[in-house]
Amino acid sequence: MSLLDLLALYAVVGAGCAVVVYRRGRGGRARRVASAGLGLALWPLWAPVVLIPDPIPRASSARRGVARVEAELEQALRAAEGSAFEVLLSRASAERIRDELRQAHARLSELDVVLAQPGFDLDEADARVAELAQGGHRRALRSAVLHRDNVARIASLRARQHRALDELAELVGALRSQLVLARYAGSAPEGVGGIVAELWARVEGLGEAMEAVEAVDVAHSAHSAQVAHSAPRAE
Amino acid sequence: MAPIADELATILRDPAGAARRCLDEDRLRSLTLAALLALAFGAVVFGAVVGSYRGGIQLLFAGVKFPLSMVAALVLSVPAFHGVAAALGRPVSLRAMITLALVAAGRAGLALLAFAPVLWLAMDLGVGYHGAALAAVLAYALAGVAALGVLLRGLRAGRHRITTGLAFVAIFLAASGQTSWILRPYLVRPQSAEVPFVRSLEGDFLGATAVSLRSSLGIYGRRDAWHDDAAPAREGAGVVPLGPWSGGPR
Repeated sequence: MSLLDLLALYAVVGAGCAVVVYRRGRGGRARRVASAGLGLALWPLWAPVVLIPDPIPRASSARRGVARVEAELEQALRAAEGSAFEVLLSRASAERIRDELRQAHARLSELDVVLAQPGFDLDEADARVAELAQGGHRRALRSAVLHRDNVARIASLRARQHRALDELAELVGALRSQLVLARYAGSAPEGVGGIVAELWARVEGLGEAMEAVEAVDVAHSAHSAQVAHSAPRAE
Repeated sequence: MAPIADELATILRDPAGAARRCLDEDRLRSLTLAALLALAFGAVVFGAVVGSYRGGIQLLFAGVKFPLSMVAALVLSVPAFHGVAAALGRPVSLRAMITLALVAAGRAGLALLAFAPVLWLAMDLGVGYHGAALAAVLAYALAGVAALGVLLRGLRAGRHRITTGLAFVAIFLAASGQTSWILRPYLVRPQSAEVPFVRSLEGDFLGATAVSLRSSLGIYGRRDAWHDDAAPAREGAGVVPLGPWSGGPR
């Protein structure tokens, strides 16, 4: 095989890569064309970088949040052990809370993976809608609005789940300090019982956070559909 | 442009941070893009300066061929880096390895950009052909050291770090030597009437290196395949110790 044959083969593969890079690219047309150009000329270097999705951050804020809750929970368990409050926070119940936390983290990680994929950036989806609205591409605009709204809903789900984890961490911290206080200062067990009850409610609510967001988003989708229909008419 | 400027500053001023980001696969696209820009711009400017020794069309030729040669060497080397690192128990994802190698090359490009004015000044002050070649090789070697710093930081401490680093150097030297060889000449004497974009594909880099080594020891044979086609006519039976940088009549 001569050098020219090799170059021709390189160009053919590069052309294929350029098409894929363009179709899966983010941002406006100029940006995607530039990226496809790099994909054509430098596909062995550029294509893996832009086509392979970003991994889940190894020490993401969600992971840190879960680790923090687990550490606080362990401290709370130790504070309750051997006291009258052990009935309220037993090892078995703590294990159930941990299970829920892990599931919540798994859901967050899945959402992170989805949002890291090309085309799932909310700003870019918004920019695409604006671009199509300007160009008067009515059918494409409807699809773009639908996609943008779906991305917004996924981002909203993620934010809700993250917030729920943060609130849970604060609550477990409060439980721990209340247990220590009750143990050494003889506080009333009602305070501890109240926090434990709220803790269970929050833990149960971790899974429901997803469903709660759905109801809010139905209204948002209806509004977006209206925008999709009205935008081309405004042209 | 602000993010790219920030990435360039990271490549130049914080090689350890840039290497860490590669391994953590943290915002690789912008880092890769900045590294490519640094590599391309630095190599174009440095190549143009080398080409300015003859001037004219060679300025353009060398300006194009320098980045082309470096990128071609990376295209050939990076998959091998990935395989060698995995084989030596230091696995790094392909995209992390690509970005790490590009960041290293981008830093080399910035180093070449820094050396370009010095080389230009030396040529302007009338340094000879061999002096210019030596200065260019020295600048290239120093840029390579700057790049190696990034690669070694990216390997992190642990077993086989030095072996892996040495393997990277060996692979890149072989690949870049051959790609440079294919795209020669870069430094051409001002008297040369015509300059080809590339010479005919004869011999290879290792063969030329062996000839140069023999020549440096005073052992001259018949005209070798890699030698400038037009040279024997001008030099009689001559066998001339030229390196891959050289070209044109002596």
